[in-house]
Amino acid sequence: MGSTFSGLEVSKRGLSAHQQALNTTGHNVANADNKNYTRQRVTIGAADPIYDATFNRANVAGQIGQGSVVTQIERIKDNFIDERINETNTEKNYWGVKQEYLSQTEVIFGEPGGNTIRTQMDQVWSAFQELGNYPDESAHRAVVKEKANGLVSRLDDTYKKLAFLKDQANRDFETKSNQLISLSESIRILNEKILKSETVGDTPNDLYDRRDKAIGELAGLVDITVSRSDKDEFMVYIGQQILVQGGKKNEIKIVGDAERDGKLDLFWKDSGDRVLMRSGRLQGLLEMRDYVIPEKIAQVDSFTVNMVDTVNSVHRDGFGMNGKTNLNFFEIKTLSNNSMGEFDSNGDGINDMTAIFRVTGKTSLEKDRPIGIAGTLTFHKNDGNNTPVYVSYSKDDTVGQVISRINNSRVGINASLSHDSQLTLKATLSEDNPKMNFVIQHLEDSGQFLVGLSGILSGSGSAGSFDYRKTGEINKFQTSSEDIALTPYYNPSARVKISDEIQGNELSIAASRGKAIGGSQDYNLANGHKDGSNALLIAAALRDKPVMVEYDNNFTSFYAYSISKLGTESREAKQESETRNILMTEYENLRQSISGVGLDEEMASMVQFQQAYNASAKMINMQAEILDVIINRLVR
Amino acid sequence: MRITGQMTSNSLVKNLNRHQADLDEIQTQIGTGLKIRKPSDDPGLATNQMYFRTRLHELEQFGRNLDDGKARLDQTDGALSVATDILQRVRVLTVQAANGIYQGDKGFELEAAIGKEIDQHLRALIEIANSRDATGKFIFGGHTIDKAPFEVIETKEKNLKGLGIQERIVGVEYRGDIGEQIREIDRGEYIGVTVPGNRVFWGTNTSVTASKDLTEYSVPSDQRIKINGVEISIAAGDKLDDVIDKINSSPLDVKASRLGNNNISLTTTNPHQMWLEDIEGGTVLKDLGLIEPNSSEPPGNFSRSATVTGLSIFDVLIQLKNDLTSGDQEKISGKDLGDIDLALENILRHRSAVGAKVNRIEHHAQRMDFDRTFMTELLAKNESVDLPEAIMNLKWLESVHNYALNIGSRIIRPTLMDFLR
Repeated sequence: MGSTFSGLEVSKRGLSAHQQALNTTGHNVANADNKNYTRQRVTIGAADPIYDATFNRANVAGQIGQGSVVTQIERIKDNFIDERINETNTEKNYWGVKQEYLSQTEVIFGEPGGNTIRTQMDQVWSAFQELGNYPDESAHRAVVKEKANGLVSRLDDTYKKLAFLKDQANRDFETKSNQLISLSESIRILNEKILKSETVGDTPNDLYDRRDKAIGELAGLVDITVSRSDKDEFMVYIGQQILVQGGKKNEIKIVGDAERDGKLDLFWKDSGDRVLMRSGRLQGLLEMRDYVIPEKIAQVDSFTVNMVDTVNSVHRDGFGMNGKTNLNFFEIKTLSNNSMGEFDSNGDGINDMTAIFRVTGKTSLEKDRPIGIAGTLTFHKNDGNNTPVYVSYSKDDTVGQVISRINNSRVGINASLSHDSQLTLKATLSEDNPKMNFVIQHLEDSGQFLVGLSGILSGSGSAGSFDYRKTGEINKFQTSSEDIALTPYYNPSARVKISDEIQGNELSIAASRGKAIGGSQDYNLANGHKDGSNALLIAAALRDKPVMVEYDNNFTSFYAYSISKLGTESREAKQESETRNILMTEYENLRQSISGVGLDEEMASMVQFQQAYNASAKMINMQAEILDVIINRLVR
Repeated sequence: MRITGQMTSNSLVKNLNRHQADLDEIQTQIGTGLKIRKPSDDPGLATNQMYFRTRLHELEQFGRNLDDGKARLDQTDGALSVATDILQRVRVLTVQAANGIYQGDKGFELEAAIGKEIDQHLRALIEIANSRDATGKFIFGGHTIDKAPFEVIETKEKNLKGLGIQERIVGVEYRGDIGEQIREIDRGEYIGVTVPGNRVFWGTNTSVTASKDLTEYSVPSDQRIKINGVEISIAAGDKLDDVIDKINSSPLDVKASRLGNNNISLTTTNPHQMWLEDIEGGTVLKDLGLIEPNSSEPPGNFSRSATVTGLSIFDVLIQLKNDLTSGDQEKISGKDLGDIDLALENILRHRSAVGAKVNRIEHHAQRMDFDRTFMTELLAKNESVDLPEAIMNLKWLESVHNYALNIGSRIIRPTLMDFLR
């Protein structure tokens, strides 16, 4: 026989269970607009019935239901979707940051519509053409000077803006790294709290949500994986490296590298190893800072250096209206402080290398004539390992064939014929170390191609070879120092100007060719004032003459290649990030579909719970009436 | 699929944003008239555009070069046309003088009168040869502009009747050089737009004959020589015949030949002054006995032992005047008339060459105009927005946007709450 009040107890349970359900519905509704909220559901189960199967059970038909209890409040969540979202978010951020920076780079270059390096170059070309037309008029000389100034300042401006963008990437990297560190700390703290709650049997739904939010943010920064397999130890990895393990975490420190202009990198505090990342915003920033923007800067540098050298080498051979010759048009700071091209690379105060950018041979060659000699050229790749590369030539080869063979073997040397048809060898950018840009590494010829034929080296074989790692190597060349250009100082595009001679006196601009007088070896007297042929030679070298700029035939094609590469990279980043955006929307909708708060649904459950609550209340009322009968009416 | 309120609002907002972005994009396109503003909009098109723009810039410059070149050639042609007229008049006078119709009692004086007229024509020709361009620079001096291309050498002498002093031109020296001004009319394509005076105003072929016996001669080292500005490489060990071969096979209007005394002779194949230079310290031409061992630059550096012939137009006229003065009938009707014909022919030859160049320039300018139109069209196709299409797109986007707003306002509003009391 049940207790008098057992009915009351059952209804009271119903009341409190549904009150709990209503509260949770209220919690859901209140968080309807919380993006990181996971809807919660109250599971109502039947309370333990009476009686247990024991000897002291009442001998009635059983069991008798004892009403309801809240068995659990659970989050409606699919962890699999969360992982997809995190993964996509990582990639979205990686491409997104790339797109941001590449699009800024595009704005810096200003192609195809703006006032750009190309349009300035066109102007300079035009000015030299006009000077060729009117070599005797100083008005046109002044125009050449001004246009050249315009080009120089455009190059300088482009360099500075790119360098600034690189610094910005570095600063951005620092901010985001700090964010990474603080996020990993909050995950660690949340892990501790969650573990405590779980230990006492609770399900800390809102803490779970907070942890998921932190992990989502972390996934934007770096490629993480999460492991939930051990219930007591929630793990977060970057690649294969453990970042957070339950209540512990591996510290990351941000280290600046003085050797590389204060560039910041992430290291594990314990092991001292670099933090290896594959994707995410941080990796995107790192790639922009360390590869993409430096590549663009190197391209501007190479454009500048080659332009300066090409103009200078033709200009030196011409004569100004005032009879001056052998003047540089542009001036650029050289790496070396002496005329031998010697340089102290390790900062110990002793010169230890010879840094030469270009060397031109003494002899005029004919491009299509067979050379009639055989041998092997040895070059060293500009890759830090000095990997030797051999280029052989045989007697049936023409000069042009040997030149294109040298260029095609990509040995860090550009070969071409100068305006006087002399063989010209120029260094390219370094493959790995920007400080080794524009340095000829090694020249060696087992035969006579570089020696007797073109007049560059004094001797054959390794005895006569040029190598940058020694000093005094400039003496290995036959050519006079006028035909050798020294390597420019770092970041040449910021260090070019019009030479003082030209800046001070535009009559010194060498528009005319000269003539050799008095049996001398060289041109020593200017042609007449009406001769503008040197100006036209400069114009041709700036335009379509194959002067070789980084294995590209001429300035126009090198520049177009650089811009189309930039455009393609930027477009790829844009498309990739758009794809990830669409994916993100899809996945987020999927997550919302499962975990999001549906107001209609909540309203419906509210009505349902409210009715159930009301009904339970009615039950109590009914019980009260029964008891009223028993207590009050049975007295008489 | 379960749809929540946040989802509907999310997708509504996303769609609206996308429409806004598209609208903005198309509005900028219509506003600027440009399809692409960054290389990444279409890397291929952007590179093309750069090429087209640079090419257009180039074509404009080449157009300016062409205009300038044509103006110069026109001026040259004008000057030469006057020179032709003068020479033709001189020729008429010479024929008259040669005919002997002025002989007789008064013949001597009439010839002197012709001589006087010719003297004036000579001065007029010199003025033409020293004519200047718009900026006041000489046009027939090659690259030289700091002095007049033709310098007159005069003597003062008593006139024929012994009364008064008159100036007599005894010679005209060329002070210019053999330089030719060039204009780039297309990539790597050049055209000369001036003619040096020592080609145009030349009457007869020049020839230099050395007197040295060169049987044993062999060139000591690799050297280069320059004839009329053209470089010729001479190799060590070359004999006289090799040198002659090399000269004859180079692109020159000079012919070399070996004469009976094993000596060398150079003759121009059309009237002009010959310029011989040893360059880079070479000695070949000196060794051959063509130029003076320690002499200055050309012209006038021929070896003193060599025989040099060749007259400028002015020399021809001076010679004619002298012959008239001395009444040398035979020379007037023979050599003088012949030389005048040669001079006339030479000027006409240059006029036709100038005319042909003007023609070439005009054709080139036409082609250039075509290229420019074509390039502009390509550029327009490449970068310009197709306005009707863009406006259609804009309208379409606008209506889509309106629908989205409309629908959005309807689906966001109603929830179950609206119906609960």
